[in-house]
Amino acid sequence: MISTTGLILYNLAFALLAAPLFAGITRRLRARLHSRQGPPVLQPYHDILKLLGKTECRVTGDWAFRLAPMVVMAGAAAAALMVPMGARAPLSFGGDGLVLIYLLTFSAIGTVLAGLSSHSPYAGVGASREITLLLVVEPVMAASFFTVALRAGTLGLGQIAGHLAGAGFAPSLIIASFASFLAMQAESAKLPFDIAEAETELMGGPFVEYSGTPLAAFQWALMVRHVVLASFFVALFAGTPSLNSPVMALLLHPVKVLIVLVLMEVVAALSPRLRIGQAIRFYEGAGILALAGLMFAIFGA
Amino acid sequence: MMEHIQKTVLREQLTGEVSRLVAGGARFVMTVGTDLRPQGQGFEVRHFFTHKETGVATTLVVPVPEADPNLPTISGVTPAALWAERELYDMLGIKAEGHPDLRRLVVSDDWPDDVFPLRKDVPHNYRPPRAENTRPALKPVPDGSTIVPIGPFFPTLEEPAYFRLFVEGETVVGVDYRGFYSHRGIEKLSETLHYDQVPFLSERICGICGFVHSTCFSQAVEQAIGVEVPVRAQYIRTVMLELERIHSHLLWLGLAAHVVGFDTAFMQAWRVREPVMWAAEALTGNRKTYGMNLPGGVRRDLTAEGIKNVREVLNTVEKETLSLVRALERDSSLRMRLQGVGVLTHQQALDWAVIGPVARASGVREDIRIHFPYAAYRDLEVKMAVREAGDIWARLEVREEETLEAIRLIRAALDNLPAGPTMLDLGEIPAGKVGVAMVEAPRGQCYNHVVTGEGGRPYRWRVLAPTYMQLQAVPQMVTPGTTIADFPIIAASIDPCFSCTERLEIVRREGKVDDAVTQRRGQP
Repeated sequence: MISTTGLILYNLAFALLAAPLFAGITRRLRARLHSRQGPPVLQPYHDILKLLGKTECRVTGDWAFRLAPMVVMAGAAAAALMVPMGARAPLSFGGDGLVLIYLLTFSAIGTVLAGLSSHSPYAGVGASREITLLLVVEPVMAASFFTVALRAGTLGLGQIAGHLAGAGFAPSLIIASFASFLAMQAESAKLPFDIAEAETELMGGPFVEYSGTPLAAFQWALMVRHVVLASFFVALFAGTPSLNSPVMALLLHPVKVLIVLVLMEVVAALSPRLRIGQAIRFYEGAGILALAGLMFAIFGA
Repeated sequence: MMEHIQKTVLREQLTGEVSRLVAGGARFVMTVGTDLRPQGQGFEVRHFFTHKETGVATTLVVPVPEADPNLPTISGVTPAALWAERELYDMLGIKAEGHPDLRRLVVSDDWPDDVFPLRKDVPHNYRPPRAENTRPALKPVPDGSTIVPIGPFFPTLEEPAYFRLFVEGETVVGVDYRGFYSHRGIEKLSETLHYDQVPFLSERICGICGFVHSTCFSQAVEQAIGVEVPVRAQYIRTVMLELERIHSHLLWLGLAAHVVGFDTAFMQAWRVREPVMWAAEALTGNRKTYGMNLPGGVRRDLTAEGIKNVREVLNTVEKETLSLVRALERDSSLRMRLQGVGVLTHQQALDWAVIGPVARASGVREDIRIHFPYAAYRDLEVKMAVREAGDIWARLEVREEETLEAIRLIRAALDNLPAGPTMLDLGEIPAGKVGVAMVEAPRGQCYNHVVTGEGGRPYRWRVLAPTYMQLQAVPQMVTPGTTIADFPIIAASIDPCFSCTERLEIVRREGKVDDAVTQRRGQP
């Protein structure tokens, strides 16, 4: 059995160090869908390094303004320790799935904090959009998770992953997988739900006043968030039974994550950005769908 | 040539005359102020109207004495004249009495109060002393709302323009506009240039639809002295104008998609557009800013090889535009963003005298090519694209249809291309003649007023850039319920060309980059 310390290191390395690579691959894919050549796959690493070396320009001495990037990054990194990435999650316990959802929300709250403390109309509007989105998206995510948890009879992600591979798909799980995929699109701030950042409307929303290291933190954290969300999705719906070869499971995981991220990128490339009101209505629909899935699970389907 | 009635009216009669014209269905086009003091007269203000049903253009010529430079406003009758009258004061110091908002429109905020650039006693290279801490006169913020500034520099505005949105939450309740940051006084500059130089200056008014401007200027001069250019030249102008329409509409389609975050459509539209630029390069030597027009005709003939190339490009572009159009029509999210947004009703479109695709999307059946035909449009039948809804989706559909129609028109023009010379020597151009010309630009209507002067130079040249009327009407498109998210696409939906409107030399940033790249490539 691999030690917990080893797993912590592995998960952090995978989430933090490999995330820009996934971002680079999906950027390249997006470029191809645009009929463009696209930047080199390693470009996100260069972007982060470049930002880390830039002078930071602070618009306000507000403590929240300085705290926000740390909250976002810490939340994303901590979430990475809660999710299995081809092996058991390093900090796994009975209810780790719930804690994971909390941590992701905690990280998103950092974005809201950034927007509210920036004293810019764009950032303010971006923050209000971010929190509105959170309020409608989180229930969809949670309902999908509970559906799976109910089927598996546990809130622990490790056991869920093991359970599903043996038990096979049920109608409730198909609905839940669909609903949580929809929720992930907004959770990862991808089109058509990049409403809070909305480059062409709000010039980056909550991040408009950030530069240098803090901006790098936001961008990097978003990439980590993508990997964590994709891993979460894989754990819920595409887990590998722990009985099989652990090496295979470890090697297979990045492939699964990449498939999920590619799917998300394709959806993003084919959608114009929605208005916040339209997004809310969309997720109300998705919420009803997720609840239906939960009902199915309660009645055993 | 269109029938042009010039009628001198006294200041007291002006409002009555304008009311009669507007009630009869005439559309306000532009106001031209001219300083005639060097000729021993005062000022002269000309309000230009057109009537599409009769095809008659009417100019009301109002003499304004130097001692009392004012005249009654006509904005009460036709609100479309609001900007033109502000400009009249900025440039010539002629005040429209009763105008509700005479804030500065054109001249910058640090410009001296008593210098009116288009008066003949102000030299074209006058530089005012530097002023500190000047600010635009801004509208007060309504109670309970906050300001979200769009501009002066903003990612989706390729050029400087400053919209102040008054918002409550996400809802826009009002708009204030300050623009003309790119004003470079080219009308004034033209008075120092010869007739065969102005078309090149004119073409540089716009980085996208420059050929519209040089055609319009050339036609105004030709009209002033009453000559017809060779038929072959007219056909060549039509071919170039329609090529320009294709690439301009595809450019707009891409930019509009980008504004709503749909970069796939953005990139695909520009990919489809690119061969049109190559075809233009094969015909004229330049992908943009062709340098083809002069009063009297066009400087280059079309070659058989160039025509073959254009036909091939048209086949590809037609096929790809159709597939792009089909993909967009099926896109329900795009529809959600654009339908019912930025609505300009039919009545508003008439009141604000908007023209071009924006007007036709609001059910206004007017197209300069049809109602006031010029060049080869006298022979070619143009099918008008009209929609009734008045929203951004309707504007998209009108432009899509016009792109395909332009392809058909180029083919028809090339099929019927007459033989013969392409240039007519105009000889000496006499002074004191007045010529007006109108061209249907991709973005609306281009109108030029030329008064010929001594020494082979225009005495006065007035340009109405295609965006002017539509930009003025943008606040009307901010209907109740419009949100911050809608505003950038509303502003983009008129296909604005701010520097055009403001009469600058080089416009859209991407055009400038292209030029720079071509130059680098051209140099070893």
